Amino acid sequence: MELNIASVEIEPKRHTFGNVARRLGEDRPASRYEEAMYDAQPTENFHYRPQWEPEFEIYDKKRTKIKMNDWYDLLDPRKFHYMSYVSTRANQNAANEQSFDFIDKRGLVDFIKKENLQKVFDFLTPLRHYEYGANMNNLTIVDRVYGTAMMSASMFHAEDRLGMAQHITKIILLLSNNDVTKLDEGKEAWLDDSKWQGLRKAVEDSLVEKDPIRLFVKQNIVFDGFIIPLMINEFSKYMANHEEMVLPMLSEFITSWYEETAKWLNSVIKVMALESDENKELLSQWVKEDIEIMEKAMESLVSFSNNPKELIDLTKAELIERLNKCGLNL
Amino acid sequence: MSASIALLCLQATEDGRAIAEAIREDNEGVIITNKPAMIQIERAERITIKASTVSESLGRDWDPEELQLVLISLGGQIEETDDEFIVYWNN
Repeated sequence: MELNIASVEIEPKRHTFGNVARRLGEDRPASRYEEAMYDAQPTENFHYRPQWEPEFEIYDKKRTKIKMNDWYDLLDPRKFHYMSYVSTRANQNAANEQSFDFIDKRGLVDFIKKENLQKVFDFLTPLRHYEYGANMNNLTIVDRVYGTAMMSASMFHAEDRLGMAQHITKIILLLSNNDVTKLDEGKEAWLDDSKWQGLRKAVEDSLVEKDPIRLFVKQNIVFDGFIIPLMINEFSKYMANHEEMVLPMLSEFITSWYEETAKWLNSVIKVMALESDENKELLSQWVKEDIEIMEKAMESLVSFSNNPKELIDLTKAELIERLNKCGLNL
Repeated sequence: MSASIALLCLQATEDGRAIAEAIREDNEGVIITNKPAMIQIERAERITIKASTVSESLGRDWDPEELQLVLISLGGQIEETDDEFIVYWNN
């Protein structure tokens, strides 16, 4: 008996969803990112306006002063959709877990000098509340911005911020041998210690900002543009300078996360600024206003360093250079 | 005699598709055919995969050695560096 195995090639009728194919201009297999993101948000047939804000549709481009011809131009260069986001963060967390285990196993915490340890408690713990504010602000952006491109990336960013708050909590608990009163003291410092009040006011004022892109600029571009370089990166450098390498190891996760995230932030600003001169003016104006707020708020906070003024000026100059590269006019 | 055809067959996965996109960008005249679960890539003489282009289309740093994870078959000689993976015919 002769057996003939023949293969039949079945050409699929279409390679991706119709809405994605229209975006790509051809019917070709699309990436998961493109399929999960393009036009996922409804655009028409809203029967009712939201009762709490009847001047807007549920999804409304008019919630921000920034004008985009197409809100789906604001792509995420990291191409995060659920799976790529989760697996990227899981890998980073596994690497980070090793640092924690290493420090825990060898009891390295016992070798940290007392004054260094106290500085970490004083300057790092209250940042949990800053990160929680950043989480809420990004959820507001998700709530109010137009188009899935920004919505999904901001959602991932909001989750990141909750993660950062947890990460700081883990650092503090490791360093304090699970002494939870350290966390309470951090909250008290956030509420009452005079050096945190400038930042706390800035964060609390930002919580009522309604324009999603205004809030994006405020929180993600300017606030973080000061806090992460100064309170994480410079603080780590200060610790290293004072013979303390455990903290820089523990906070490396935040540093590298911010480097990665900046790619997305920069690209959003770049695309918006390129869209029109009005956008560019508006963004530049917003950044200027917020830089002024943060410059003042940071003065008392960078008091771990001997020359806070110099550090703040340096960070400001770096932020301005970065944003000018993205097309703003500062 | 007509030119020899350099060939790459990749799995049609998320990474495979991104690599194919990068190849399309860097190799003029390349013919990319989507087969069931496979992407067939053909070009006269030479196919160049640039790590920088793949990294951009994938949204993360990509190392040419990762090509092995989605590689089904190839036709040609190989030159691999940290920045490029080249399949070519030297005849």
